[in-house]
This record gives sequence, structure tokens and C-alpha cells, in this order.
Amino acid sequence: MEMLDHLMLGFSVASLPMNLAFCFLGVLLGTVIGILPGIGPLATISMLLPLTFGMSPVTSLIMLSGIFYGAQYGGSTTAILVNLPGEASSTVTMIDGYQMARRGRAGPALAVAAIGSFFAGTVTTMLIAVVAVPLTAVALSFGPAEYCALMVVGLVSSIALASGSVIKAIGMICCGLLLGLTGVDIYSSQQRFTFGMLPLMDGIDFVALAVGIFGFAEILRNLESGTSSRPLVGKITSLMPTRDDWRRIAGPILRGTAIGGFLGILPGGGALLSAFVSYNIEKKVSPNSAEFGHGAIEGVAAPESANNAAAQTSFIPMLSLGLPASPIMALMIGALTIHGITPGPNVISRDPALFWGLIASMWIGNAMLLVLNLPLIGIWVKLLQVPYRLLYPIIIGLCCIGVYSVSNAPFNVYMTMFAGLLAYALTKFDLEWAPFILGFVLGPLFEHQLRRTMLITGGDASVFLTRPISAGLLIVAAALLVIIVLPMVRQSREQIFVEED
Amino acid sequence: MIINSKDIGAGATFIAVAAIYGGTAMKTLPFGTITSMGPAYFPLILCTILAVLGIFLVGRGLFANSRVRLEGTIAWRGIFTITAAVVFFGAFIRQIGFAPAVATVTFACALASPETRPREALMLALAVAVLCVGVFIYGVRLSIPVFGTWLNG
Repeated sequence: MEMLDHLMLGFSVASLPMNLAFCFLGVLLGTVIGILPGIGPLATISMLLPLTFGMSPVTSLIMLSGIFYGAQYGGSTTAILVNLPGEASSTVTMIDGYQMARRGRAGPALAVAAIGSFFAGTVTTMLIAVVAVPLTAVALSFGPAEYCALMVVGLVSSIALASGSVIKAIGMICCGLLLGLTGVDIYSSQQRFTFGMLPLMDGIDFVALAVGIFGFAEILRNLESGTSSRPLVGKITSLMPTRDDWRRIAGPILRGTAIGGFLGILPGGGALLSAFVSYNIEKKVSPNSAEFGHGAIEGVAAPESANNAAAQTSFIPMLSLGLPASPIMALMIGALTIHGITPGPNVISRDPALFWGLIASMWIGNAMLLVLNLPLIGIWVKLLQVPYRLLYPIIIGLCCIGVYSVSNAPFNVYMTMFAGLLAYALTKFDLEWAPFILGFVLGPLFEHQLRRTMLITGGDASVFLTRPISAGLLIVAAALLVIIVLPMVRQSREQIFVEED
Repeated sequence: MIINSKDIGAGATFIAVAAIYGGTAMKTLPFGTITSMGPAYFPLILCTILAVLGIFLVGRGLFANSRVRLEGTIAWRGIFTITAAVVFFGAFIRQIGFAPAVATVTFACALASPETRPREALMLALAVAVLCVGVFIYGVRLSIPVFGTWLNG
């Protein structure tokens, strides 16, 4: 029962008072920013990254992950009560959740969303514990060629995260890879792309870049359309779902968890996609399918379970392979690197307390979220009434503090503003930033492994196709690319037809 | 002429990045060989891909089937106010200190929204500054002076 030992170790680490406190702080913050539209976990985590320098690595990771999955819970509250996605992944919950609220059933909708998320969180925490170890064993046999191929899979799947044009996404990956190379080249110790700026010697600061892109640019976009808030609908009378509700949600929660858990592991699968898929499946298999869109409780239970399951399992590639499957995971890798830990298959054996402690904390955090989100719902409803025009100046202030405190350097503050303006401008051309950030994080690593491969093989590029694991991974990447492109072709054709009419 | 402004803009961006980074790499860094790649090798591969994608996008944008314009307005008021406030924060935090810098940046940014009155912005700025001093200076113990060299005489 090795796994039980591991989990015991994990729980002993996660239940240290310090870790419990920061786990609570993380899920609390996550709930708050999940509820507030206009600020997401990406901006929050990048903002708080510098403040975790002083903590132990496991504490900081516990808190940052808490923000991430806490936001999934909070997002559903806004979706149900205001019909706005507090978090992108709760877009699907809006469809039936808001309808339930309009029919006076806001309470049960909120309860089902939280219970579904909790169930999914519990199951997928176990799943991570089971899957991560064997996956790590495979990863340890990887050579540089396999790593290159694996990163190609990661980068290609980040195209799936981008909703627009595949060509633009590939271009953004290349831009990210290029900017990631900024600084001193470790092979030749020559400066690259610093343009004579001294602070760029160590590379572009990741925190500054992320805060600019996901914090400032987002605020500028929101300022375009005015800053008034929407009224909320529906009073919460009773939270308790009826007996009939319980009977109806069991199946959707189980299926949602399975779908979300699976899609979350795939790099780029993501929470939003799994919510969409599970909603559509429920709509097909449910005996109440006519009710979907008019306040079917299954339509809340399934996507909420799925998005939370996917959020949890997206940790698997990051923890066992050291590869980020989403920009959030890229930030987590950034947090580990700050503490001098190189993410990858070695973490689990070299630092088991970190690995299992984080996993155990996820379950504890999910339990805390259940308590936070149900009995205390009244407080969160009040929070929804804070207008955005008072919120965004606070966010900017906090961003400035966070970025400045990385190294008490004004340069990083200017850099953040520059990144924010650039990101705001380029988004007008439908250029998206998730692929860019992944490229930026992987840039130096990719180049390093590519150089090693070529050095070992004497410049023979065919190794990528002759080594079985590497070839297999590249085939996966190619298949992914084809899948991503196919519906695009159809969509763009349809658009043209519409415009010609 | 029917053009797709988004494609042209995106393509031009890629071409510009390729030109700037590719140009710098070619001028200042050794290329190396495939067995021992120099610091310019991988960047130049990326720049080539970018240039090709960029040219393709510009071409597609110039001969588009339907006209596509840029969406939304540009938040000029927000851009100028927020940029000025943030640059001020970076430039003067050492001289005026943590609390005044945070208050100034919050106050100025609040005014970027036309619906916020100056009085409201002032109250918000003071509240945020006090809270942040509590959390970041006494809580997290950031080593930034609360009041800077100018105000301490």
C-alpha cells in the first residue's frame, strides 16, 4: 500500500498549521476573484507570485493552486446569479443556472454546483495520486529528443486553447519562444535580444509579462465598454436540493467528472472545453432533455463537475512531466523555478513532501470551498454588488506593488505597462496570448533540448522519427493539429456564407 | 477594396518581430552549425517561420472575401491615465515611498472611468493605501519604505 503511505505523508504536510492557513487564504481569494467578473486566476496568481518568495515552496504552491480551483467554485455563483461568466469555464453553467435562478431555484442551483464540484475534486485528487507515479516513471526514460517532441505536443495543444485562427496561434507561439530566449545564452555566454538594456540580461521578467498581459490589458479592454454592473436576479431562499433533484444529478455528476478528468489531462484540454462537452452529452442522454435551456438541474451539475475535474487533472502533466498544459500551469512552473526547483519527473522522488503535500491540500481545499460557498453564500452575493469602476483601480495598485516587489526595480513596472499596452493593441488583431505564454516559458528549454539532440546525433534530425516514443508523440501532435484545423475550416466557410447572404 | 484589417495587422506584427529579431541575430550573433548550434540558429528558424506566416496573413488580408474591421473603440482615456499613473509609480516610489505611491496610482486610475467622481476616487485611494501598508509592509514585510526620501526630509 505504497500509495496510502504517500497520501499519509501528503496529509501530514498539508495539515501543518501554516499550510492549512495558506490553503484557506488561497481558496478564499480564489472564490472572491472567481465571483468578480473582470479579474481571473491568471492575473491574481501572477500578481501574488512575488509575495510567495518568502514562503516554503510547498506553501506557496498550495496557496497558488487554491486560487486556481477556488476560482472555479466562485465563477459558478456569478454565472447563476448574474448571468455573467465570473470565470471563463463557467460560461456553460450560465445557460441553465440562470434560468433556475429566474424560477426562484437559485439556492438549489448553487448547492448542486458546489456539491458537483466537490465530488469531482475528490475523485480527481485520487486520480492524480494514482496516475502521476507511473507517468513519472515513463518520463524518466526520456532523452532530449523525447523532450523536444513532448514540448511540440504541448505547444500544438495550446493552439486548441486559442479560439481563433490556427495560423495566428502558431505565430504567437513563435513570438513567445523568441522572447523567451532574451538574456544570456548559456552555451556561448553571449547576450541575446537585450537591445542594450541591462535588466534584460537575466531575461524578460515572467511576472511583469504575465501581469501586463492578463491584468492591465484586460482592464483596458473592460474600460472600452463602460464600467456599470448588472443587477442580480433571484433571491436565495432554500439551498437544499429536493429528493427529486438528488436523483437527477447523480448521473450527470458522475459523467461530468469522468469527461472533465479525462480532457483535463490532455494538454490544452482545459476546463471550458470539458464543460461544453459534458453539457452536450447530458442534453443527449437525459430523459429531461426538453428542459435543457429552461433551468434543467442536470445542465448545472454536469458542466460544474466537469470543469472542476479538468482543473484538477490539468496538474498531472505539470507535476509529472514538468510541462504546462495551460497558462496557469506555466505560472505554477514559474513559481517552482523561483524556489530553485526544476519541475519535471524528478520532483516526485527528490521532493515527495512537496508533491504529495500539494495533492493532499487540493482535497482539503475542496472541502473548505464547500463550506465557504454554501453557508456563506450571503457574503458573496454582497460582493457581487461592488461596481467594477471601484475594483479595477485596486487591481492596478496591487499589480504595481506585486511587480515592483519582485526585485524593487522600477524597470519591471515599466515593462509591465509596456506589455499591457502591447497586449491590448495586438488583441485587436485577434492575436491570443495563451499560446504566447506557453512559448515564452518553453523557449529556453526547447532550444536547450534541441541543441543537445543535435549534438548527440551529430546533426541527424531523423532521430525524432526513429526513436519510438518521440515518433509517437509527434504523431499525436500531428493528429491534434489536424483535429484543430478541421472544424476551423468548416466554421470559416460558414461565416463567409453568412456574410454573402 | 475589400480588406481584412485584422489579418493585415497580425501579419504586419509577425513580419516586424521577424525583422527586428532576425536582423539583430544575423548582425550580432554567430549562426553555428547543425551539430553545434550557435546562439542565432534557433532564433533564425523561428524568424523564418514568423516571416512566412506574416506574409501569408498580409496576403490573405489584402485579398479577403469579406471586409473585416477592428472591433470596439479604443479606450484612450484609460490608456493615457493608467500609463501615466503606472509610470509615475515606478519612477517615484523611491522618492515618495510606498504609501503615497499606492495612493497616487489608485487615485489616478480611478479617474480613468468617467463615472467616478474625484471625491470617491480620493476616498478609495486613501483606503487602499492604508490597507496595503497594513498587509504588505506589516503583514508580508516587504522592504519598501512607507514614506520615501523626499518626505522624510
